[in-house]
Amino acid sequence: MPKVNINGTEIEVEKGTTILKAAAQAGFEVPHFCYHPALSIPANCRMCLVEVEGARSLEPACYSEVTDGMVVETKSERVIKAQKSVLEFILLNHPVDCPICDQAGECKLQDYYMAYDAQESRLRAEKNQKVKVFPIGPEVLYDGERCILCTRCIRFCEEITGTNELTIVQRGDSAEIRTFPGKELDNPYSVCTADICPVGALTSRDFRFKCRVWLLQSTDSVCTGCSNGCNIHLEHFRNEIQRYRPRYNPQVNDYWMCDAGRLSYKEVHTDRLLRPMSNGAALNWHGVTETASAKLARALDDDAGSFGFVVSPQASCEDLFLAKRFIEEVLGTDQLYLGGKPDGFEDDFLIKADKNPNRQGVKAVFGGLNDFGDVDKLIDDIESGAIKTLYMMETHLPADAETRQRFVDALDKLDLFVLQAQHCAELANQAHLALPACSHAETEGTFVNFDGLAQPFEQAFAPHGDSLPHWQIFMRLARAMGQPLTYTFVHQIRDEMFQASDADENGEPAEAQAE
Amino acid sequence: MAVEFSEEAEATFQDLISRYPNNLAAMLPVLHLAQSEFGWISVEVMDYVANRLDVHPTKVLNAATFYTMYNKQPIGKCHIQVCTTLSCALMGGYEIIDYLEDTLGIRVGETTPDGRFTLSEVECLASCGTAPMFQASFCDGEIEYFENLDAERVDEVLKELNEKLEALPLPKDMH
Repeated sequence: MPKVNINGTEIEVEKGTTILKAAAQAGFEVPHFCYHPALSIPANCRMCLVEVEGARSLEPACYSEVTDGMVVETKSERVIKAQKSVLEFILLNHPVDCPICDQAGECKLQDYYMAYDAQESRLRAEKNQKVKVFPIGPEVLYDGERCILCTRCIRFCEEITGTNELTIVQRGDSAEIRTFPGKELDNPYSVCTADICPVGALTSRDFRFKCRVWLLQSTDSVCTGCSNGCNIHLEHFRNEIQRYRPRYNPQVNDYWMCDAGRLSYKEVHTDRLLRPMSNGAALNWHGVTETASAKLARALDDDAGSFGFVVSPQASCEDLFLAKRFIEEVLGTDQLYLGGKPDGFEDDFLIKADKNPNRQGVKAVFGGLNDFGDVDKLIDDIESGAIKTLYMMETHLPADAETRQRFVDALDKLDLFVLQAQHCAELANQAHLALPACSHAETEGTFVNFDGLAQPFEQAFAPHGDSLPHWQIFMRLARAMGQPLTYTFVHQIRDEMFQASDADENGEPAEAQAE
Repeated sequence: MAVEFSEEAEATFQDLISRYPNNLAAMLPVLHLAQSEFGWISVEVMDYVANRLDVHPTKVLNAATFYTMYNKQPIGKCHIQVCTTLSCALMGGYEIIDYLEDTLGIRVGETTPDGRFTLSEVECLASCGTAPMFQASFCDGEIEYFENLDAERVDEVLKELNEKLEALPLPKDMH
């Protein structure tokens, strides 16, 4: 393995390692714009130039591989001069409109200017003007003036999605990123181009002017858009999610996530059930717990055999584990049905047809899916009177609109309908008891993705309104019904759950690497 | 008119792509061929070239917009490109431009109303020994040099060109 000396630090690295990576291993940052670890290396921004002893000119650290005995300087006078020159070139026509730029605060050009340049502009001529707001795609806007032509977005569309929408048109200082006339940057992963854009040239239309990025708090979470379970930075401000950003995990989603998943955060803030309700009247938790426990106890006394329970693959494993204990120990019913969203679009990259984040979790907690009835059986059972009391987790059903309407119509036949959900949908009005559950952003838990990988997610902010995590609701009801389930923290459930189930906790996501 | 190579152009196209290791490498000569065939490089032509070369249209867009000698707008039947680099500048290249502007009634970068001539100022065309000079590129892809120019010679050349242009179609009508 080649030994290389970087700024006086001797380090041994794998053969074929680039200077940039070797320097990172030795603890030195080499600034770069165009280099991205998941994309090919064009070495066109020249920001990563370093001095190699014996070489005539400075070399791009992102592209040049180390050789045995190489002596590299990343902070020599020549290098600093080159870095300043490169930044001066890049900033020649850059508008420096940071105050109105969404990227400000997470902009490589800003950061590098402060760290490596920090000199006043010598340019006295007028800057080039270009289209400031070019709608390059349905989810992304392009600002040609800010663009530094690093071609990361072009390479993303060529190498990751294979859709080839983008290219550079014109040349010199009139060069810009464009699509072919009449086409758009319209692929299921298009906002990733805004993520990897080192400056504010490509920005998300959804996040546009929404929040300054330095106000955002970031929580490690998992996307609930489908069963792939892409790792995300859940970024929030004042108890509201502002955006999702992919979090590097080579086992699941690499650096990427799909646009649909990225926008799925809106569900957390739409149509929320925020107060416990009894027949349409808002109650507090104390009142609703008493009412619910009494009603459930009566229903069980009357006819325990006609008690049905809809389990949701939208809920976390911890919630499901308590649901299972609640069902088995408190309700004692075995008529289970599986809810969850219907299947949707899938591709061969990240997007999975199963739009529920935790179907595998249901499988692991309940020991398989064979005991669950499907929607048709659920509707038949309600219509035939086999089910008189229904306890439903979440509002989703894997059904088309027509079947769903049949379900909603059939609800009238029930003696007691308890809904425990995040959303109102059209069901909260029909429910005799509606118990507000909180979203994955407001609690912690574990989702098991399609591949069987158990992935924890963290709590970002306090539950909205009076909502509570599913597991706490089950605990309240269980206690009120005289069979308390005693947990204080999620990790207690987690420990017990992993002992109980076969699922092994191998899902600690890898630490994010520098982009 | 449908954008499609004539039999003759098709033969040239096949010959061109056989000379390069891959289709992407044949992009520039094929674009020149397309320009002489279709008069100018419209979006439809770019699409057709991409199709024929089996590359993504953005690659063609990239190349066609980078190079100024591919006309993304229809120009005149004859594109007069006057050299004004050193030798020509010293020997009267600018006077040739002035004379052409007066004679044709257009400025540099413009096209005559009858669609015959477009006038441009260009850098060195490697004919310094015979300065001043201009190059005339015709919409059918032919290129001709006119050298050792003065006002009198320009008049002759224009007359010559006018006769030749009778037979040529307008680029904007070529597809």
